[in-house]
Amino acid sequence: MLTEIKIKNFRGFKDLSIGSLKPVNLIIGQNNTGKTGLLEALALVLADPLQKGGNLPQLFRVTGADWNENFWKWVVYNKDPKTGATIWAKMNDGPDFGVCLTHGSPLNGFIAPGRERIQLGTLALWSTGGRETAGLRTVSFSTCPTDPTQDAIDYNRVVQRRGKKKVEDMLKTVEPSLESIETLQTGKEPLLYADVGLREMIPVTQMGQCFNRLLDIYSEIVAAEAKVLLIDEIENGIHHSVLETIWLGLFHAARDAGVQIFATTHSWECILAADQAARKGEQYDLNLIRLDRVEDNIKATLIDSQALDTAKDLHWEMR
Amino acid sequence: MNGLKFVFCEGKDDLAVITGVAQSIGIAGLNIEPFGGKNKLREFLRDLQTRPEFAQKKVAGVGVVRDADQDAGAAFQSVRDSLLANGFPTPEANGAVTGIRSRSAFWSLARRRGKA
Repeated sequence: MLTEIKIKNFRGFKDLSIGSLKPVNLIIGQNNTGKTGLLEALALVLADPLQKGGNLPQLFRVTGADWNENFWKWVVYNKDPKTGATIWAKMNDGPDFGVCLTHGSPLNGFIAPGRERIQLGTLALWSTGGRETAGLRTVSFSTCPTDPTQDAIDYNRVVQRRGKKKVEDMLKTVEPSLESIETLQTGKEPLLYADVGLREMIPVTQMGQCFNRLLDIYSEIVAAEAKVLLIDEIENGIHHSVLETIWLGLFHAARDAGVQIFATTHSWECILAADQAARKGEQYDLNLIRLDRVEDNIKATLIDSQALDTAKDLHWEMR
Repeated sequence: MNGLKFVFCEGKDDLAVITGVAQSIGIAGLNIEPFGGKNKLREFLRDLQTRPEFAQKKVAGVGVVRDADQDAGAAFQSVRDSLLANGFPTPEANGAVTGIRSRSAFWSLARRRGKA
């Protein structure tokens, strides 16, 4: 499990350090305080050393064809060509590892991840070497809808790994009438269908955004054996009444499958639901992290369960 | 001094009194809030620092008002200890103001019969 991340000169982060990471980390903060940027930093440092950063622009942001102009150009703090961005991560049972992005040579301690350096737009990417993160499969979820055909193909991996019933059971918490999910090919391409006890099975695309988002998340946990989930705006499309149920499912995955979760939200109801779900566990596994702009930097504030209780009692605005 | 100014008091009754006093003497722009009783002050001040206004360093001053009870000196010391434990500037005496960037003050709201 990741226990600490340090970021320097990456996006809006001049110098940020967050320690005491827990199995579930919920990131809050006003707009433009770096919530998605923090997920991107995690995705970059955790990526396979030989494929680092390749698809980072499209993980959470909608960008045009020119990724350098739309993304990489803005990645180094203040666009300073003399500055290198660095991201370091610390595990509870392994060495520290990191990556840096520069406009030229690597910073001290960094080398090319493979035989050649990786070029990301005008930036070169370097790592501390080795394959320290190879066992830490990371899956990202953005607010963009997924491709239904790809979802059907991905679901075959769930079936292959005998995880079908597990995913269906998890989804029954939000859709009690669900009996099963099947991959059917009625047209040119395969699609996922849900059996909800009607005369005819219905495409899961008709089941609502919450159902599809959870199907996507649970499938990745089961099939991809993901160890880190990065979820942007987790509450998106989900009614507040089922948020606690969803969090219970995620805490369950965190404990049983050893998955570490980093999610962002703007929703107070989502924060309260995560807190309630965390209190139902044997230990409080939630870390609430608020990012704040302070002068020319972004600072992280850890809000523990006691502070959250006070905020609830006194109706403080904590987002 | 630019920035937000907070006065924290024990409960809703104190809140009403301080709000009324502030209005009557023409002090505007104060954020007056209860902290839930003298026994909760230390934890309140700890948790306060997680609020966005404090984390973002937008606060210019903090005042604490509490009942003097039977011993104004002990009440002052208790508030002072709580401020000190949570990294706030600590005033030297009842009614005093201290601190450079962020200022703290303490006032005892009422003195009951007895030593105080």
